[in-house]
Amino acid sequence: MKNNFDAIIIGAGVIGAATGYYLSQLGLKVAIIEKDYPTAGSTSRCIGGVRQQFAHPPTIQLMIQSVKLLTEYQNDLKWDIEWYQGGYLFLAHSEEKKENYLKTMAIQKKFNLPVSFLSPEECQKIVPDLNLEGLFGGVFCPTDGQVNPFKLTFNYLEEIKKKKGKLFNFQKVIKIEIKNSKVIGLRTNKNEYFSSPIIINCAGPYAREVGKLVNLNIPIEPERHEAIVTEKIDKFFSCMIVDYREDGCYFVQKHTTGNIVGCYTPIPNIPGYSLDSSFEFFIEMPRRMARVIPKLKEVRILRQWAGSYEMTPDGNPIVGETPIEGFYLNCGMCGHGLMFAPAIGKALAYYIVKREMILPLKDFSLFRDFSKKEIMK
Amino acid sequence: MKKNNFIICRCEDISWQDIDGLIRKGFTLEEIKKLTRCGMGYCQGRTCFNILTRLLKIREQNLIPKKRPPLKPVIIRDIIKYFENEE
Ligand SMILES: Cc1cc2nc3c(=O)[nH]c(=O)nc-3n(C[C@H](O)[C@H](O)[C@H](O)COP(=O)(O)OP(=O)(O)OC[C@H]3O[C@@H](n4cnc5c(N)ncnc54)[C@H](O)[C@@H]3O)c2cc1C
Ligand code: FES
Repeated sequence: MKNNFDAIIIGAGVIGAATGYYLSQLGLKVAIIEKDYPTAGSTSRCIGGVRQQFAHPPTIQLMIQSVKLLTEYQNDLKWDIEWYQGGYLFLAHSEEKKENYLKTMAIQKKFNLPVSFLSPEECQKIVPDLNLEGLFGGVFCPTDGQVNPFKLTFNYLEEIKKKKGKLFNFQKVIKIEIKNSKVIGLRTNKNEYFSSPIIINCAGPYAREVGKLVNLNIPIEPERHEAIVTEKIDKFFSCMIVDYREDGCYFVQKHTTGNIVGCYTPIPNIPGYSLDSSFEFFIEMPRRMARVIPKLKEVRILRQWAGSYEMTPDGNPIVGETPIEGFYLNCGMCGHGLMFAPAIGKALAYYIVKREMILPLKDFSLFRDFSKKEIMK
Repeated sequence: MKKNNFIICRCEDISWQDIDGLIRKGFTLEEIKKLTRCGMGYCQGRTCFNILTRLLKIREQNLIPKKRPPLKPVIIRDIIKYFENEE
């Protein structure tokens, strides 16, 4: 039968692509079904940051693995993905923030992350023209970095096609068929039927909707996050700068093009699927960036857009099995899906095919206690 | 315009042949925008995408990448000035 596959992935974002890549490397014939075009969801809206600085040990382990894999793709497999280790600098604008960073650094150091706490002057060496007013210093990890989300996704998809995998664009999954509490196949809005004993929900912000197709309640809520990009300017800083104040922001200069891209987390949060751009963000974000680096006042804003974060109650992803045999989840990335993709795609694929846990996936299980929170959101 | 090759996006130095090659591979305009950055420069697609959609005879709005705000590039200094006047 032509629509018979070893595994079907719902969603061609970076997570679906990474998961499909590793499944096909392990010998499975994979289909990816995408309701739009690849990266049309959150993936094309993301700003490309990759960091290992988290507080939750399983997430730190996951991210160390992702950084290793990105380096392999670029150096050994020669993928053009614009991976660049310019570091991440988290600024402390209060004594309390500094103390918190020092505590999480102690956890990160157990995993040999090369993090260090820098004085304001040392921060300024990394970021020229950094505003030192009210600054207590910052934590820097030089092996964090940035990658191009489209290029990473397209490289995965090309490799899947080389392994006889298939990508079906502009088809929405509307029905999942179950027999004796096992998945057997699915149907799309083009009335095509695909059969497979394995179906993986990689639907990003829509993962909860896809869960409903099998009567499964997956605790994921979409939240609107906006972003902005400036014109290209001469390169003057390499790291992602995170201003963690309530009215802070984070931004990075693309090492390939020289554009600066950035976002902030709105307080209060904006739940829902809206992808509208707000005027408030348009006037607020540039002001916040120029407060961190006053020189940016002379730079032009080219474009703003919005995307969805896929939030879970504890700020950690949901990966692995469900009560329905053959139905797996790789979703709820909480705004970190790009950086998680290499390691989390690999880990789930190895679990599905070999029942091997190459990462502590139990901590990301649907069946975990959701009451503890990631503090370095 | 030269018959078979000319620049579509000056900001990213993307030529008609670059685009045509990707179209033949089956990519949509949205994907081409993301892969080449054509339309992500100063005109934000307001010029180059009009040339492209004319050449490709695309008329359906949903196949043409959306135009994002602002209408034209704005210097941050001017935005801050606006913000301060508001207060
Ligand atoms: C402004 C912004 C900045 C960000 N910055 C970063 C960053 O710096 N670093 C980082 O790591 N992450 C960042 N993120 C988060 C990151 O973009 C996401 O976590 C990541 O893209 C999620 O990938 P995904 O594949 O799970 O989801 P998506 O990319 O959303 O893919 C899911 C796909 O599933 C498809 N789909 C949904 N339902 C169906 C269905 N029923 N049938 C078929 N297809 C379906 C959708 O069309 C979509 O293409 C950012 C996000 C935003 C919005
Ligand atoms: S000419 Fe470059 S964005 Fe239009």
